[in-house]
Amino acid sequence: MWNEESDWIGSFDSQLARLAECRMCSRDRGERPDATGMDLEVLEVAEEGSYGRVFRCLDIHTGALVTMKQITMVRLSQGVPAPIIREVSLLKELHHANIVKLLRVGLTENRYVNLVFEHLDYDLHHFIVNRGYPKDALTVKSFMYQILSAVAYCHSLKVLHRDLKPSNVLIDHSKRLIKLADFRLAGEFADDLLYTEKLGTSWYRAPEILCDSRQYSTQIDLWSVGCIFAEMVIGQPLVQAINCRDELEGIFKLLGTPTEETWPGITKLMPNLHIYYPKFDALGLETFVTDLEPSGLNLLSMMLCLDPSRRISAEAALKHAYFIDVNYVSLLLL
Amino acid sequence: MEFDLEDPLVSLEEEQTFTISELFASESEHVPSPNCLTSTHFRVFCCEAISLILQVQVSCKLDPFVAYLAINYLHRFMSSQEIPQGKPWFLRLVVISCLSLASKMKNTTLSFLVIQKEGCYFKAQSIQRMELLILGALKWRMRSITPFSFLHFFISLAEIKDQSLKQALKSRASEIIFNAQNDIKLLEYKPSTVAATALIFASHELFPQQYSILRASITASEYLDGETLSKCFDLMQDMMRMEAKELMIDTSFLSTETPVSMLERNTKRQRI
Repeated sequence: MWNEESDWIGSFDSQLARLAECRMCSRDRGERPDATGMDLEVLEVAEEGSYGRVFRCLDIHTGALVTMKQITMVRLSQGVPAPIIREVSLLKELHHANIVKLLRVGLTENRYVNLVFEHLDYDLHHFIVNRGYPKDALTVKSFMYQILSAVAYCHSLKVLHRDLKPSNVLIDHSKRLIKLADFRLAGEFADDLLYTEKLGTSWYRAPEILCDSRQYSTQIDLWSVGCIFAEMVIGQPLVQAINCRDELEGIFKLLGTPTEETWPGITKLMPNLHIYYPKFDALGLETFVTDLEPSGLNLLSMMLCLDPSRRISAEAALKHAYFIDVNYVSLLLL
Repeated sequence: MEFDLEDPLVSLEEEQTFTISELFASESEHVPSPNCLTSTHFRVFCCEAISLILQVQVSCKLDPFVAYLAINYLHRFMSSQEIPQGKPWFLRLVVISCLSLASKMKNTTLSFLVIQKEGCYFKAQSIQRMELLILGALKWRMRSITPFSFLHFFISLAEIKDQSLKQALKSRASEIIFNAQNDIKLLEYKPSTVAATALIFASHELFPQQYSILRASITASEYLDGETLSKCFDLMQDMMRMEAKELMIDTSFLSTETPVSMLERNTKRQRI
């Protein structure tokens, strides 16, 4: 009798323990991940996607805010996915004051790769929308110089960003410091070169990509930077300011529908160009981008050049007359 | 983001000196730690593993850069680990994982089934775990800086204007570097030193007239140490002599069809 009673109690205790464990597991799985292995405390979910999530975290040791990007490893029949290896490996080699720093890489359960980045107060999208955009001309110039410095550095390493847009431009507000980031999730840079169509992101895409060209290079980033430049000045996406049915039509209305003369190779790239798009005369950048000094407008026109081979490089842009009064002293004073 | 593994430098016409100096500064972080080079276990393990990698390269017709990168990962990983005893499967698993990681960095598809068709078979899960172990040990720095990263820079120092000559020089130097990976002694030298040495040899072979100019411009580089370069040169010279000697031996067998020669050739074939 006594033995039977003991067995029953022991069995019940075991079942209770297992049940409690299950509840803990389900809670972790459903909401915030257990980041104690990373010495982080999760504060909130910043972004969600099919291939992973982005969290705002507190570093337990330093007390600093950090951003953790957690990527789910999928298709494990071939081991660790190549895009993850390539992205992390790339980020590890980027050391520049204007590029967000990858602090460390960790693993959770051999199913998630956790990338821990330094955290910055705002992104440029947030800055433009909520703070009425940087109206101060010197701030625009400073931001542009920093963005181009980071892009020139990447291009010197034969690295393309490929997804430059205001939300990928982080700002340390107190220092007026810019850092480029890329919080796209793993699935968004699959090995195929085609972009997934997403609302809003195509506003910064170069015309040669919108024309479905598979041949592209560093120039695509300069187009994106040009779009960001215009947006800082006018306070909204440039293409959005133009009445158009799609981004390419907006670009053609702005700059004129390309011909073989203005963009050599366009008829081969887009044989049906004139079937889909009327022959627009250029409205001109100056029509929409007002309040920008002449040298700034000149630089912008060299970035937003339809022909990729004639578009200015980041390195050359840094030497443009627009930046002649930018120096380290003025950058520090901001 | 995407990047070029072979040539991380953009055109040097733009004189991006910060990039060149950064490349030289960080190359030491992509070589095995010095302490392991004196270990017999390390040498034996790596020689066997390299042999296996080169077998797979031949049988699967891999890009030579994939094999080269895999060997770099192998050296870096094993120099940071204790080599486990009594686990014969470990070597094979490391080899498969290094090849897999290298092929992923080069963005070529390489099925686990293909590279494992000979010998024991590992589950994808086991390979994934080993891949993660290697990635962690190498701190996810898989874009290794190899001698190939420096060839363009050194060639540009000589101010050669003939493009086909430049290309021939680069091709031959690359071939020398590929062949040199068998010898573990070269691990004592930085990738830039190996690259410079290979170019000097290539120029001497292909363009004796240009040799003195190229050698002078390379040795004058602020990034190279003359004494170290000289030692590396001697080592590579010995390696190339051994290679030539082996070729001569093969040739001498063919030139004489005596019964003794046939017997020796048969023995050699059995050994292979």
